[in-house]
Amino acid sequence: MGLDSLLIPAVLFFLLGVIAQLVNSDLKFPEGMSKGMSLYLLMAIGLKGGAELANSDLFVAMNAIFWAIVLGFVIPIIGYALLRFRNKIDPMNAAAITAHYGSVSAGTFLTAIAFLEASGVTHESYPIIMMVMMESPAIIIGLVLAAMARKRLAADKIGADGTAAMGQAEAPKTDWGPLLKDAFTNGSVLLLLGALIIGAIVPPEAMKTLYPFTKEIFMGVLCLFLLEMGMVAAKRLDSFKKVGGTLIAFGIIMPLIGGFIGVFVGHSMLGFSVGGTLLVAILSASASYIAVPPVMRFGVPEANPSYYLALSLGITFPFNVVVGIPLFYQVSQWYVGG
Amino acid sequence: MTIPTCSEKMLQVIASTGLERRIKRILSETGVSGYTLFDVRGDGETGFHSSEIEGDGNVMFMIILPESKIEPVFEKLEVFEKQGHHLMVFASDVSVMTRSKFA
Repeated sequence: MGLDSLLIPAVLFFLLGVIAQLVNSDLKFPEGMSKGMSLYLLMAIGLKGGAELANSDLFVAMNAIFWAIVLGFVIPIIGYALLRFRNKIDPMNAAAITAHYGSVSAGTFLTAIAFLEASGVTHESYPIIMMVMMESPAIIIGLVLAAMARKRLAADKIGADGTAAMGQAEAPKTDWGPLLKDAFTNGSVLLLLGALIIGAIVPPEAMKTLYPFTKEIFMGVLCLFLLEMGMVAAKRLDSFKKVGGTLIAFGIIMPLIGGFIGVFVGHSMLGFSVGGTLLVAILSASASYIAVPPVMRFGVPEANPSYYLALSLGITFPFNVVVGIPLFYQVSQWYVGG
Repeated sequence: MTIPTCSEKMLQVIASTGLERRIKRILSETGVSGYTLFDVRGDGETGFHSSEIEGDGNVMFMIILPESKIEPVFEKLEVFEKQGHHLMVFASDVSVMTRSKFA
């Protein structure tokens, strides 16, 4: 794993964005542009993946969906246990942070695809449908962990005050309806799933008319998106002092744990090639910064948004782009080859 | 020449974008028919909110309303605060030139 692994336009534009921010350049994107580009990227990858899935094996697709849901539930539970170990992080922040790690980062996933394409490595299309399936379970786990912690904290507080017996306290009620609706219908899930279905049912001849949109400009838009995300990530570097050593360590250790689990699931459980295994590893290693923050901000308002945004955007995203992708590629090569 | 005005209250509410729909519902339930809404950025207790990504944005409602409606709106907004949401709510006295809108 050498410098070559960084010489990919998408990664270099990400680093350029970081540098632009660090040197206080006046480089600025028009308001809302990153949201627009992420909509384009999700739609393009959804259409491309849907077209490929139309010719796929249904059994493998169902197996991939099953393992995506398993990963979506297991990874946040591991993350919560790590954060709560010796009471290092309070339960509300732990619940909100861990939901981000169980979910996925489409930006990191697309960078991994760019890495594979630049290296001439093919990959299965099933990880795209896994990305859709992994968006929501972690949100549910995060909300459940927060609701349990809220109940426990309220009971402890009232018990300590001597105003009520332990366990009989009334915790603030969690309004599940809108939260579950947000978890399953948030924009990125809806667009990605919709584009996958459209890509799968549209005849191949009709899809060809979309190739300039879905294929030819894709990498250019990804570079532009990563340039802006590099700037956004670098702005979060200041938050390092605020989040402290424990959370910084978590932001690096958690993607490593998730990535190794992903390599195992990708090859041993799903039988994917090196490319497909790397993509499952990246899905497991990445932390959401698009779909999860709005739901956690509303569903777990007691948690501090600067913690989970600094972690997912300022630490784990750059770590995965620069170190995680080439590292998990090497591990996948070794594991699949062995 | 003195321009005729009427005295009203101006309520300003800064909250996360996730609360936008809920606050609109509260205003509707309390009979407030108009407001102005801004996307805002700022720093504070929960760190800098840049609005660059979903979930990192804040909105500000600017509402002109009679004094009698301030308390019912406050009471409903207080529920969010008890749930742990970070809200900034403040009211001030204002003179309104377009009296016909508040008749």
